[in-house]
Amino acid sequence: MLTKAEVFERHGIELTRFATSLVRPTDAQDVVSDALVGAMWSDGWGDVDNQRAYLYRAVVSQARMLQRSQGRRRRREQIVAPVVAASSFESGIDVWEALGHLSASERAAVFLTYWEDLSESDIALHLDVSDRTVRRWLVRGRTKLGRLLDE
Amino acid sequence: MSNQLDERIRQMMQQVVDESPPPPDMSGGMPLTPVVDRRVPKWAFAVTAAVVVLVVLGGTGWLFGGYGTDVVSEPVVFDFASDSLCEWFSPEEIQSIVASTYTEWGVPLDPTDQMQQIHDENSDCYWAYPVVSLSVDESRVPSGPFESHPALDESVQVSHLSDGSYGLAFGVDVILTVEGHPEPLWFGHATAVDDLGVDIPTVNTLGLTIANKMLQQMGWIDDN
Repeated sequence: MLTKAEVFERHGIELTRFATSLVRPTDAQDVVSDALVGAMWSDGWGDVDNQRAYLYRAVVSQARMLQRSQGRRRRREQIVAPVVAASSFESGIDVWEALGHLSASERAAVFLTYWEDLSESDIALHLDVSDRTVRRWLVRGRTKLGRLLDE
Repeated sequence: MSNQLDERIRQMMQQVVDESPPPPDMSGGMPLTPVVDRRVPKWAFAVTAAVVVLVVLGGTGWLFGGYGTDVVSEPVVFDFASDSLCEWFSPEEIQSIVASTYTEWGVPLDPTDQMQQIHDENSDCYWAYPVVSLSVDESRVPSGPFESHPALDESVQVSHLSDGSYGLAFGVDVILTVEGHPEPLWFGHATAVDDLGVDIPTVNTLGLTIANKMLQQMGWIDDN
């Protein structure tokens, strides 16, 4: 059984890269630390079989919460001070702006597919969802990115 | 699959990894989790209140346990597998729900103001009511059972309005757990009040009252 420090040593970098794909570099460390604290200090941590997958899910969960919070704020600001939506890309592709059009789940599916080279089944196991759900996220993510990259 | 698109996405992911920060410093032991400051600043500015964001959240409950959840009984009409909250309510229906609730509370409404549907990048729906000047007749506000409602999730923020004034926006998110449903569904609407005497519990009660009416039209019952 690995200690918490050993688990962090083993997975910290990949989890931070994963978090970066979900929430941008500026928020990635906070998301990872919150996820690790919530996961590894929970009562059930000792009973977890696949700790790596468990931590990936925890990071996705934290990323979703952050995205929700930021989304709420943006929507309310838009209501009280409407702004004209700028075009997605002026020149070149801004990666973060492109990824901002994807949900956390879609970003997760895209990152795990294209960077970690995981299959849909492996991603489904990682995130504790069905293969069909992963496929849906991936299709949506690719479609949105494809549309943005074609503009 | 387009190989060119796949390659471009891979390049994007490479950039993500290149710009990824180092892992957080966990050497100091268990770090403190961020605390959300929900105090309401008492400023003499126009006040806007965002009311009722109805969120349906499903799947593994523990992932969202800290966010505030509510267990709802079996659906009668709305089918989360196939129905879309973005399409379930027409603008007129939402208008009717909001207007009837505000009327019950003694809040005067401009009949020309209409709800607008806003879609964001996460495929969520968000209904927005134009910012209007309202005042709440608190003598008609029913005592709310919702102040300690587990689905209540308040947020407070200040928004800088385009005309140079400041708006105080605070809102209510209602979150429902649907067992076995993996995807969260967003639905919400917002409105505005400029009565500085309106307090957060009042706005929260208003928001949840509207949310319950929406649930009734969906054929759902709040078990909580």
